[in-house]
Amino acid sequence: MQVSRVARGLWVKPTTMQSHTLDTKPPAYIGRTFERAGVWFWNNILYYTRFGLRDARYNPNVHGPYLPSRYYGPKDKTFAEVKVGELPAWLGRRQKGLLPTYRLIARAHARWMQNYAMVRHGGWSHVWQGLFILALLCYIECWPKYRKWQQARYHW
Amino acid sequence: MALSRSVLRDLIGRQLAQQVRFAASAPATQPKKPEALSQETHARKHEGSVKKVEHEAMKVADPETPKVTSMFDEWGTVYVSPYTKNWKPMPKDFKEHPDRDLANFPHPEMKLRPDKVRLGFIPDKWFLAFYEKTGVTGPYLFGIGLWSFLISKEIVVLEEEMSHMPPLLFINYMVLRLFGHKVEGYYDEVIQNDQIGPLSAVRDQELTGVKQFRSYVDTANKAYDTLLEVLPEVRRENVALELEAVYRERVNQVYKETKRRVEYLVESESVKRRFEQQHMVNWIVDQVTKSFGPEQEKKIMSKCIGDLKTLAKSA
Repeated sequence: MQVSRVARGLWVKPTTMQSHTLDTKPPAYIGRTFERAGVWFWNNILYYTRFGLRDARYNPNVHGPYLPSRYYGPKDKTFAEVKVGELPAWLGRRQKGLLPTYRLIARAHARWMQNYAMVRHGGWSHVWQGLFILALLCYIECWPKYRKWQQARYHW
Repeated sequence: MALSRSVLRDLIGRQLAQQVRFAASAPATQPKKPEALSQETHARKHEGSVKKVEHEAMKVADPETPKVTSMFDEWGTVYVSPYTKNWKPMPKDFKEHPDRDLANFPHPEMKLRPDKVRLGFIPDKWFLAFYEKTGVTGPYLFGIGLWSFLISKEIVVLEEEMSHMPPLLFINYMVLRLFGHKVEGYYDEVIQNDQIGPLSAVRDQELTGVKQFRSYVDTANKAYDTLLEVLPEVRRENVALELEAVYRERVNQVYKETKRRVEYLVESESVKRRFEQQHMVNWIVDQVTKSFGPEQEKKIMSKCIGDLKTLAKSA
């Protein structure tokens, strides 16, 4: 009985530059669910918040050009001028929440940029400050490693 | 010789008494608070050209030898931009809207230099906050004390890779002090020519265009006002000119028409006369030729031929 010869061997798909992305492409319905979910979230929730919008109390006729480093709310004492007894009342007057926190950080950053970076002859002070903070954060990340130096029996 | 306790007590007591007397005699004055360092303090020192003092060794008798220069001649110069000299501040009390609050929200201006920093990155404001309690050396001592505490407790570990820091910081300091002004000058040109120059040019062009339009409108209004004053006379003059033109046209027409008719009469008469003349001449000539006999004809012919021959000979 003649048996037809079949070419046997390890058949490997030829790999090209984009083959690893083409092989593992996810199905279209997953991306589409995310898209539709995002659109629903925006239309029904985000649209009615003030995320990404300027402060509602900003009036261009009164305040002039918009600066993200300025606070367009009612005038109040700064944290340095508040006495200890007035703290609870002062804290009650402040806005609490996610968006006010983000705006506080954004205002501080914008003020720092205005003072050090967005300047005609800026210099290197903003670079050194950023590098210092970066070094500090990297040191904190490596802190567990340096605990061994502390716990060693013999030091330098 | 060992000093006795009583002698020591006296000496120490005298010293203390002296100190107390000195302290009491000194007036109780508060130390002057230093002024916040202004933005231009750093620039004030080196504004304009750097003072180049020539050493005596540099003055050579032979002028052909070249002068020795080094990169340290311009150590620490501060670049002063020629473009920021023309920066004009906003006019005071200029309000975009009548409700504008200028006291709490003044017009924003771009700063020329950043806030003062010590050691390259620590703001000067923090030092002033320390000054009232601790004096001038307070923050530095605080830093030294903190640093020594952190090192002694091994919160900041001094390992071998940290030894790269001091030389790098030193090199950075030297490079910035020697060549910083050149880099700043180069980037000042780049910023001016690529970013701020075109915008300023656009703004200036629009301003000049608006001003030209205004002046044009003013002249046009003046012209209109003067025109209104002289308009009736102008209208009268125009009407008079039109009438004159029409009159002259008609006079010309009359002249042409009369000339045409007169010419016609003259022509007709001349035609008649010419015809009469011709007719008469022809009739006369015919009559004369008819009166001629054959002999006279021959004579006349021979004479004519003789005349022609003489004419031909003489010609």
